[in-house]
Amino acid sequence: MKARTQVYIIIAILLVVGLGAAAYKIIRLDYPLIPKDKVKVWVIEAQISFEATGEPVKVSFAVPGQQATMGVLYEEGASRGYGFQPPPSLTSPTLHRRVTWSKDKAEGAQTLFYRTEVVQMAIPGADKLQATVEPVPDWILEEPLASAADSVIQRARAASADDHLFVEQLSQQIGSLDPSQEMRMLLNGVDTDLKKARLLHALARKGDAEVHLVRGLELGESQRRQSLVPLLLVRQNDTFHSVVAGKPADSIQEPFLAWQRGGRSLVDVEGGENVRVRFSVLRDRKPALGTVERAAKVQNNPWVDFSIYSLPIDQQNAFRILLMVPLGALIVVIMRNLVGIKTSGTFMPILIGMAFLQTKLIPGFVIFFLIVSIGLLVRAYLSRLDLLLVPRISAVVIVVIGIMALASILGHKLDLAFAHSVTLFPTIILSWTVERLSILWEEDGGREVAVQTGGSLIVAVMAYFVMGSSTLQYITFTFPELLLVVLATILLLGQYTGYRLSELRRFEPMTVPQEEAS
Amino acid sequence: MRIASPQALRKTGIVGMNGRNVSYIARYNDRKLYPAVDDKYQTKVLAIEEGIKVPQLYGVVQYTHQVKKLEEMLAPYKQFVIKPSQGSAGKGILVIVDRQNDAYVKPSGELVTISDIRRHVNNTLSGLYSLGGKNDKALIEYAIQFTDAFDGFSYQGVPDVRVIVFQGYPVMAMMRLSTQVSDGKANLHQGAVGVGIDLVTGRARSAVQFNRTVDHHPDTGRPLNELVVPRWDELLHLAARCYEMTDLGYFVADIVLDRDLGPLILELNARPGLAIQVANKAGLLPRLQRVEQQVALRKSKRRLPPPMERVTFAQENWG
Repeated sequence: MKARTQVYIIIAILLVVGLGAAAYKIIRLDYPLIPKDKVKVWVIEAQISFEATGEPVKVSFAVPGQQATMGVLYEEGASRGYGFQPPPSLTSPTLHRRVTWSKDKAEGAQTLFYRTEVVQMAIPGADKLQATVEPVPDWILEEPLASAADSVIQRARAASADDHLFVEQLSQQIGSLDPSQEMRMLLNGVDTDLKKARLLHALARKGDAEVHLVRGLELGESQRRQSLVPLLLVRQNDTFHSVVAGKPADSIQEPFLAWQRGGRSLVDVEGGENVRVRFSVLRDRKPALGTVERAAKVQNNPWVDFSIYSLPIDQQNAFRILLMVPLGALIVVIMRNLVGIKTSGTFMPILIGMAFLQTKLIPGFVIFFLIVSIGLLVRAYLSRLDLLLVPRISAVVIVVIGIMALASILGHKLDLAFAHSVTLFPTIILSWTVERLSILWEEDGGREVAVQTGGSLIVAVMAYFVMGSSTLQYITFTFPELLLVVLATILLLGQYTGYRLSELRRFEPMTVPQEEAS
Repeated sequence: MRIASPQALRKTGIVGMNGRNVSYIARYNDRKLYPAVDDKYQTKVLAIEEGIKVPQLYGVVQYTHQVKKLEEMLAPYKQFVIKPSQGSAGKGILVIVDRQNDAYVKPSGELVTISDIRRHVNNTLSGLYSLGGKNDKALIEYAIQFTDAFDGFSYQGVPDVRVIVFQGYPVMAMMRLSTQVSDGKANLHQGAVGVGIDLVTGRARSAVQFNRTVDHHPDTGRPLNELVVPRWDELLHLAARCYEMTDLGYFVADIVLDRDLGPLILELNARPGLAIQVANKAGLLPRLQRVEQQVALRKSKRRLPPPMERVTFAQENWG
């Protein structure tokens, strides 16, 4: 069979499989092709800091899972130097999700991060998990508190028709400016919101209401420092009502993310002291990625069960970017073979684009120009010393890494935002860029370096916008089979023997009527 | 900025980069044949076996310990050239034109000592001048004796003739004249003058610099229409014979003219550039298609015509 025929057969197969699978998902499984609306998402970062005492460290931390009105899109917690045990899968029926960090030995100030991204949406079935109710705590069954509690409960019961109003009554008494004799006794030593919530929980349980103690975050605007708000969920028939101890009934206005349920502590640290937990919340708008909506369908459909959504979230995150690389490749193919832009290295523009995704565009440009020009200057000097190629290039790379470290430290001291974006990945890519450009300079001269760097940057910026597009990210992530279509397109372009756009310019003088040839 | 329509280019028969890569290089050049042309030493060995004229090889230095014997190797020769086997863009070429006592004389008149030459050879071996810094060999060979046919046509260096050979048939030829702007280099995009050469007569037919027609050499002012390549048929014949030597279907032969020895193959390249079309003011496509037709006719007889016949074919068709 001729090579050309084979290529066309492969292209046809790829198109049928890719488009077919996507069509099946859209038509039969109701996947939206274009994310319909942008939804509010919150990126929440919990920062756990403590003083390690030099012994083995084990930190156990409660983390949120799927909830009736909140879906978890993303979570990560790996910390450098710590072994990390991720939480149970989001679909597993556990109410108390916890993550664990551990380390053989640690000393001094330690900081661990846990980041999660949540979206407000209805998760069917998520509240069924709340079936287990904690028993009445022992301390309220002991005298003299027991009889004080009994009289408070009796009074509240008398003034309310159902469990919800009963708990509201108790809450009002806790928050009252002039509490009764018994209440004053119960409130002795109860000075924090959390202790008030515990008291309310104990009273409500003793009064036979089904309540759950929950600590969570009110998700409003972005906020640097937020603390967990304790509240009670009261079951009234089949619905849950929230009550904040000592506050009016409508005190929770914003969407509420329950971070931790039940009585266990938020964080347990072995081998550390002075534990502090801080939360920061960042509000963002994104296309509805649908991760969670899909979850229910995933469980029942064997086809979807093999999709990327079935992977653990940290692996999903890796794929989120990886799946964009083929689109970057498509751009490189188009720009090089159809337009005729010269780039240095075939796929370096994609990598530079990915680095820009991490640094954001403008800081990325600044860093790029800074590092590349300094690197090339160093190279220019080194080449006068008559060194061999590989040592010369290695020296350049080491200098580049030095510059980046310096820029990072300076930026950090001066509190410049871009310094934080200098992470491992851009560092490697930039060093490599400088290496390639140095070699290019050796072989083809400075003009060629300028041409190819310019070309690479143009393609990199295009790749940056394509790979960074949240709509395209949604599409490739939800319909990875469409990448087969991208592959087919690239194979098809591989057959293209026509002119490049740049050649229309290059050979233009040849199409005008011949001037008098010598 | 003016832009041509793709139809206009196609009508002119221009081969673009994509067309060259897919329809000619990928189709007619077997990848495993590349090393024979990328490494000048291998090319030379092949050429000598085939009896194709190349600058005589005086010696090869491949290992560092051989550098000690360099003086001995160079003893018989008053003039010679040392070049890296896998060098690019003319880097690392050392030309010696005379001797004075113990010293060697470069064309500029500068004197170098044997230890300078040893260092140069050592650098060559460790890949200082080679693509990607690979370890390399240093070739010591005959220094070309310039003919006076090209006096006034070149700013520096010796002009070479490039002949594109497609399936054994020479299809187009060009001469590259270095200029001051091109810094003595023969690359057209750096500002060298490209001169299209008539396949029958060896005369210049048109010339361009930076994509624009020129009539005179920009540095010397000599009219380019006076340019004639001597021993032209012999040169084309030599280029055509390289097909039998390499089996590459599509390549360009770089040929220099020696005063005494005539045309000599300098090197072959399996990825010929497209600028030759601009220099000739003619597209390659009709010529390549004509050769494909001719080969298809011949295939039935399973016989490749001898090189001289192929040269005649080319001259009859594209003279």
